[in-house]
Amino acid sequence: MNKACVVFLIEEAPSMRMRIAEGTHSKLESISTAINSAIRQMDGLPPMDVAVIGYHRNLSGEPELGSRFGGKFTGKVWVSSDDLIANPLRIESRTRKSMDPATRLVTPVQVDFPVWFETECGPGKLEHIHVFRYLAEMLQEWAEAAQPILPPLVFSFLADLQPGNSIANAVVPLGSVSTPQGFPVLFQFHAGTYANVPAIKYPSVPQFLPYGPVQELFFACSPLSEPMFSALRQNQEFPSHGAKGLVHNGRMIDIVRMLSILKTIQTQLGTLTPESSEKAQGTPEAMPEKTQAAEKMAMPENAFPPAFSPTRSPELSTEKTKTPQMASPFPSPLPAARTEHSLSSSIERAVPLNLNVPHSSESAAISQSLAEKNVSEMPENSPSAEIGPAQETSDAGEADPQSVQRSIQTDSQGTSEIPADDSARSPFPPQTRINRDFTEDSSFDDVPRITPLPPRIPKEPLPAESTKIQLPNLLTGEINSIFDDFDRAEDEDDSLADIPSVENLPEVKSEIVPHGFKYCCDALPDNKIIGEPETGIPRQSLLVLLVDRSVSDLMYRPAHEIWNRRLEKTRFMLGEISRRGRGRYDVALVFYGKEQDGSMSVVSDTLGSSFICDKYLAGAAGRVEPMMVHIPNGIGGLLSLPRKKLSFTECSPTYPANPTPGFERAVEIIQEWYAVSSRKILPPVLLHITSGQFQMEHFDDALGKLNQVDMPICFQQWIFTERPHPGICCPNDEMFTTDQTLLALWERTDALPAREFLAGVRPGIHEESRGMVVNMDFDVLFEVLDTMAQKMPQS
Amino acid sequence: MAYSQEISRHNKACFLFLLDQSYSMEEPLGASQNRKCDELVSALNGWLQNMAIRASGDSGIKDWMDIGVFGYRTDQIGNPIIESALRGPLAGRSIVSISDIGMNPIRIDQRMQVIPDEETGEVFQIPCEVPIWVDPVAEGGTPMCHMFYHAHELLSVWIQEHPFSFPPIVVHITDGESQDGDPIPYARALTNLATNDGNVLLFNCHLSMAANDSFMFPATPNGLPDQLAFNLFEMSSVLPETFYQHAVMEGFPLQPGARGMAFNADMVCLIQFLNMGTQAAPGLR
Repeated sequence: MNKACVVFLIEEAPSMRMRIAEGTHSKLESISTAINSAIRQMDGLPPMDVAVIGYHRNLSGEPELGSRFGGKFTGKVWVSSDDLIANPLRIESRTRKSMDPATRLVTPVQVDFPVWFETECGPGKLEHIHVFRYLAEMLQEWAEAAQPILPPLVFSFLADLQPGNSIANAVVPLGSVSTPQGFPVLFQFHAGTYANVPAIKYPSVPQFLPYGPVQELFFACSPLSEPMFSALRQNQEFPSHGAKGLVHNGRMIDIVRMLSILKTIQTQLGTLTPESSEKAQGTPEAMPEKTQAAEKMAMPENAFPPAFSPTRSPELSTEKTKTPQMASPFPSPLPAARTEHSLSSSIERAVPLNLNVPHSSESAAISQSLAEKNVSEMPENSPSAEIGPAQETSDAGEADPQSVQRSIQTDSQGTSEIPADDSARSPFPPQTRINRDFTEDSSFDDVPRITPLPPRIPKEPLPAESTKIQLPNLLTGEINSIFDDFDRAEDEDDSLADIPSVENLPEVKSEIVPHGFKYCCDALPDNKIIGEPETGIPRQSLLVLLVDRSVSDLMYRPAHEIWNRRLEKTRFMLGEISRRGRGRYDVALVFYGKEQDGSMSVVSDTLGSSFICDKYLAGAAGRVEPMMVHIPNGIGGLLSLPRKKLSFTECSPTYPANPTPGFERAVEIIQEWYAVSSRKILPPVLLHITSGQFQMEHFDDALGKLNQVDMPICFQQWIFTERPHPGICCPNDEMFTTDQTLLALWERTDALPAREFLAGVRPGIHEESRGMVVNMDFDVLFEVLDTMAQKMPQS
Repeated sequence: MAYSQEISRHNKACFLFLLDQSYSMEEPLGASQNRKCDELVSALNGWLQNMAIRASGDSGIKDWMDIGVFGYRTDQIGNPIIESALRGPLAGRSIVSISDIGMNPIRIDQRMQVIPDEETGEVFQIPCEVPIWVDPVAEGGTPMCHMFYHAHELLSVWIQEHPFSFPPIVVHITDGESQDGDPIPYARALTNLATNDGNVLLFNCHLSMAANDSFMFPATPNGLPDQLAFNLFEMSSVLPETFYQHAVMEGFPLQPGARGMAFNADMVCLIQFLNMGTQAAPGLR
C-alpha cells in the first residue's frame, strides 16, 4: 500500500451514452479518456494507490458496482500507480491534432494511447447511497492498511441528477472515513449535454445554483485548498475564494482541468515523507524550532481542505490507525440533531475552522432561507402609495445572500464546538458495512430498490367506497390527509360548490339528463372499411386507444368541456398516428361508458374492424377535418401548417362507468391481434384515456382482465383531470402530486417503454418514468414507438 | 372611451418589455431543445423587426412608438441587476424610438428559417439574415419587484411627456416566481399609472419547460393550475375591448373579461401572445 490514494468513481447510467457538450464522443468515453490520460501522467511521480470504480444496475435490476480495471488487474480494487503504468490493459492508436510551430499547420498525428480500464453504460441507474457506502468501506480499509500521509482523493463523475435521490445524504458515509490527515476530498463532476448551457464551475455559494439536485450537490463535495486553486489557475481556471470541487454541465476540457489537481497533489507527495507526516501529528510546542521550520517546509501549508490544527494529545498521535476526530466536510443526514457537548473534554479537539461545507443544520438553514424567498411577506404599501423594492429583504424574513452567509458562519461556529473524542457524539451515523457481493442478503433493505412493475391485481384491494382513496404515505407510512384538507377547502369555496362529490353521484336516471342531450357513440355512416392489401411488412405493435367517456356530472358545463378536450386530443392523436403511418403499427379504438338506461356501452367497431394498419387509418375515417397547426419558423415568427383531424364517431359523455367491459373488449382485440400473426416484435400498448372518475376497485377488476393475455401488454394512461392540476409527463416517483386518485392511477401504470433510451435525451424522462401523462400532450408516445422500433432486438 | 386614442407621431405608443433573465431561463422551452432565453430573444427580435418594417414608409421609419426592453436578474451576491437589454449603439438607453430600433441593430445574424414546401406539405429550412437587438442572458435570481418598481419610474416620466397617448403596454415575460417579495402590489402600482386614454396595461406571459397545456387570456382564475398562475392572473390587466375583439377575430376562444396573460406558454404561445398583446392597439393593425 502506498501513502496516498485516488479513486475515480464513474456512474455508468444510460444518460452517459449521450454526447458530451461541445464534444464528439459520449460522456462516458470522454471521461474514460481523461482518466486514462491522467493515469498516464502519473508516470514518474511518487506512487499512489489508484482505484477505478464503476456502477450501474444491470437488466435484472441487480447492482453492478466494482473495480473496472482490466487485464492483469482484473478484479483488483487498489493498484499502485507504478504497477499500473507498467501494465496497461491495451495500447490504442489514436489521432491527435498537432500544430507544426514553424508552419502553423495543424496535422493529425497517430499516437499510442494506453488504456487501463473498461467501462460501459448499463441499462439502469444505481442509487448513490449504495455507491458511497461501498466507497466509504473501501477507503476505510485502505486507511487502516496503509499509513496515509494524505487524505484520499475521490473524483466522482455523475450522470444526470434526478430530483428526490439525495446526493447530499448519499455521501454521508464518507464522513466515517478519516485518516490522520483528514476526511476524503471529494470532487463532483457532471458532464453537460447541451452546448448552449454553460457549465457551472467551482461555485463558492449555493444560492445561485439551480434549485434541486444541483444545489444539493454543492453540499456533497469538498472545498478547494490552495494547491488545488493553484493547479486550476495554471489551467486557466480561476475559482473564487471558498470555491468547492464541483463542476456541473462540464465539458471535456473541464474534466482535464479538474484532473490536473491530481498531478499537483501527486507532485507534492514527494515532499511529504512519512517522518514529516508523523511529526506533523505531534505537538508543535514539543518540537525544537528548527524541526518545526523544517516540517513547515516539508508540509505545504494548507495542503488540504480540512485545516487541521496540529494541537493534539500525545496518545492520539502515537496510534496510527486511530483517526483524529474532526468535523467532517460531508453533510450529516437530514434532519440532523445538534449534539450537546461539553467544552471540558479531556482531548482538545482539532477543528477545521475554515470549512465552508455546512452541516445539515446549515444546509437546512439555507434551504429554509431559499424556501422563504418564495413565501415572502407582502409589502405594506398600498398600490396608490409610493412604492419601492424591499431594500432590506432580510428584515422581511427573506433570504438575501448576505443573510444566508451570516447564518452559515453562525452555524459553523456552533458546530465547531462539538467534541469529537466520543464516537457517540459524532455528527455522522454509525458506519454500516455493506455486502459487496450483493446477494439476496445484501443490506439494501433500508434504501429503495428499483421497484418492479406493480402487479395488475393488488393483493390488498383498495377501499371500494370512494374513488378518493387514501393510500398510506410511502415515506411516512401514515395516512395522507392532504387531499382531504384540499377537498374541505374546496367545499368551502363557493366558486366550486356546484361540483358534486364523485361518491355522491346519482345513479343514471333519464330525468337528470339535460334537455336535448343525446347519449351516443355511433360510428359515422361514411366510415370506410379498408380491405388491406398484403404489404409484406409485419406490424411491429398494436396501439389500443381505450377512451373513457365518463364525466362526473352531465349537468355541469365544464365537465362537457373536459370531455370535448379528451375527445379532441384522441382525434388529434389518431391524425398524428396516421400522418406518421409507415405500416409499422396497428391501431384499435375502443370507447366505453354508461348509457342512458344504465347499461354499459362498449364501442369498438368505429374503425370498420377491430384494428387497422396505421397507413390506412386516414382512408377509413368517416370525416377528415382540416386544421392548422402553428410551429415556430426559426426567426421569431410562426408558420401555419395544414393537418388532419380524423373522426370515426359521434360520441357524447356519460356518467362514470365501470371500466371493466372496456378493458375486456381491449383484451379481446389484443388476443385477436396476437392470433392473426405470430410475427409480432413489440408488445401491444394499451393507452387508457380517462379522467379517472371511477371506483378504484372496479378499476382493479378491469386491470385484472389484462392478465388473461399470456403475452405482455404495456399499460399506459393519459389523464385529463376535471379539477385543476398541473401538467405532468411520465413521473418517476410518487412525489409528483398530492392527489391520491392520481397517485393510485400512477401506481397502476406500467413503466414507460424505452425510457432507458429517452432518459436524459428527452427532458423530464428518467430511467424509472412511468407511462402516465396528466393534462398534457402524450407526444412522447411517438418517440417511444420510434425508439422501441430502433432499439429493441428483432425477434 | 378608454383605449381608443389613435397612435400617431404626435400621440406615440409605448411598449415596455420586461424580460426575466434569471438562471432558470437556461432550461428548455416547452419540451423543445432550445433554451427559454434563446427563444425569448428570438421572438422579441422578430417582433422588433416586424414593428420596424410596419413603421417604414416613403419617408423612412415613422416615429410612432417608443420601445423599452429591460432585463432583470441578480448578480452573484444577490444584488438586483435591472438594465436595458438593448445592446450595440442603443446600449444604456432606457426607452428608444422605433426609428432608433430600425436603424441600430447590434448585428445581422444568419439563421435558418423554416418554410413550408408546397409540393409535399412538409417543411424545410433555408438560411436567412435577421437583425439582432437583444441577446440572451440567463444568470442569478428573479428580482421581479425591483423590475416593476423601475418600470413604474420609467413610465411615470413617459406619461408626463405623453399625457394624451394610448397608455403604455408593458409585456412581462418570466418563467418563475418573484424572489424579492410579492410582486402584486408593485404590479398594481404600475397599472394605476394612466394617460388620459386609460391605465397602463400589464400583460404577463409565463414560459414553461414542459409541454403542459397552456392557458391563454383566461377570464377567471378557476382552472388555473397553481398559485403562480393565480398571481400572474392577479397582476394582469383585463384586455380592452379592441384587444378582445382582435383576439376573437384571430380565433382565440376568449370569454368576456379575459386578461392579458399566458401560462405554460411554449414558443408558439409566446409569439401569439406578443402579437395579440401589442398589435391590437389602434393604428397598429
